[in-house]
Amino acid sequence: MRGRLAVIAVSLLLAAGGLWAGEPAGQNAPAGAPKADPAQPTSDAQFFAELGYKDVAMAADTARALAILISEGKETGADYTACQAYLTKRGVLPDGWLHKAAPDAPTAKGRLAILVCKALGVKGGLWMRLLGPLPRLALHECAYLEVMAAGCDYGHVTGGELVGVIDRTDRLRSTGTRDEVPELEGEPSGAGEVTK
Amino acid sequence: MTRLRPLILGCMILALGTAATLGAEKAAAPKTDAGPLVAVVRAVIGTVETRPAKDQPWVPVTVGMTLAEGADIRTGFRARCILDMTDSLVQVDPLTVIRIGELRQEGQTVRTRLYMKHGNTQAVVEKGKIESDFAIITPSATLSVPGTKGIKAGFYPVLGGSYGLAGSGLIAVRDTMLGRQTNCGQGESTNDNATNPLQVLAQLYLPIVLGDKGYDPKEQNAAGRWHTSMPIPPGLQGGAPPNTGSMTGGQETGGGDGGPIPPGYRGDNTIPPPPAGGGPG
Repeated sequence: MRGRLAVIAVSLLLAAGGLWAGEPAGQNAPAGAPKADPAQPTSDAQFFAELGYKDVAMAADTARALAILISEGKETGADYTACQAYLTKRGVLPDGWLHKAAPDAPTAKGRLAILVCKALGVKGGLWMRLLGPLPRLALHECAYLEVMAAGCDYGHVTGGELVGVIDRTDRLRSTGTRDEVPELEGEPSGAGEVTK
Repeated sequence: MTRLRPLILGCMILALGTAATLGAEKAAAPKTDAGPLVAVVRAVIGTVETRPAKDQPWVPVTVGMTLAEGADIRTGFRARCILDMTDSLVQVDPLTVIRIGELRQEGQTVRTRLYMKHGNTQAVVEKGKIESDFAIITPSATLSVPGTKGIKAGFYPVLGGSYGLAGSGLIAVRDTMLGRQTNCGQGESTNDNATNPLQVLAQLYLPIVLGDKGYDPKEQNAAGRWHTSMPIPPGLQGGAPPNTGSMTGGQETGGGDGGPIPPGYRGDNTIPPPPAGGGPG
């Protein structure tokens, strides 16, 4: 019996050692295969454009997007900790979720709604005033303001949705209405002229 | 010499008239050649970047830059740019990713196709000497324009799209998935589903009509959902909600063909197990 246990233990150790010594999957990629760009987006245009392709917005994306929103485009740092500190300083992190969340933790709709309500200074209705900005109540408030789409508060936020929420929130912050945008004025030059 | 003066004067007048007529005809004659055109950047505010093709690097957009077919444009926070596209003027609003899919002249028509991944755009399409074939295509709908001003198109994933017309004219919006189409006049707007503009207004301003059980029209199946304390209405009894897997909340009284429920049967969408006692063979 002892012999069998010893054999099993040795084989398990060997297997674990093999796994430990094995190379990560990414390093076995062929030489010509494209590799992910490890560099962080430098401009806000690049950040939001790449965010639009993500299936799920991570906590780091949410922190950076909100930092850009609150600072009105001046704060575009990619450092997660710096964004957290900035948002805390501006009073947008009331429940400390972003403090605890890992940078690659997915963002839930309710959590994002709380941050948006804080960014907009929305106090809400009776229950939100009594109970505070709970995820469900905050999401209802954001859906009423047409800043976010209604749904379950525990659902994940996609990257494109986060971009849209930031755009609508900024319009609401700056103009007071979600639909107001600067009108396009002028006329095209092509009155018979064709630029080639 | 005095006899020749009127003759010379007449010849000069004739020559001038002919030249003027030829020049006017030349100016009025529309260009009928075909080929790709370019968009000229008229104004830039904030961070706006472009790349000529998919594999090319992104570069900042400057005033006067020309953008050809296939160019991608992305705008940053509170950034926008205005593009002059021969027969149309397009403003790319903040946080937008857009591609100039097609911009070419086909005979006397300028064909423009803008592929907008997400964001907002406004456009003015001039109805003049050049015939316009202008469209903004989003993942969910297509906005096409014969010639008008104040076109607004916006789309974000999950949040949906909105398409409207502020100026005079007419736009057509077509749902990509269902092919449904609607027209919007001045001051009207629609959504991804090409809903009639009057219905959009009704949804915005009319009070919600509740049924006799307190449901609004969108909550017809509310009692059929899980996690609800309401009983299942009589009309919904007899079948489980779709895609329920192993959760059996439906009150089945019989099998799909009216027979008894076989043992282990867990909903309408699962395949009933073979009857006990062996199958064929």
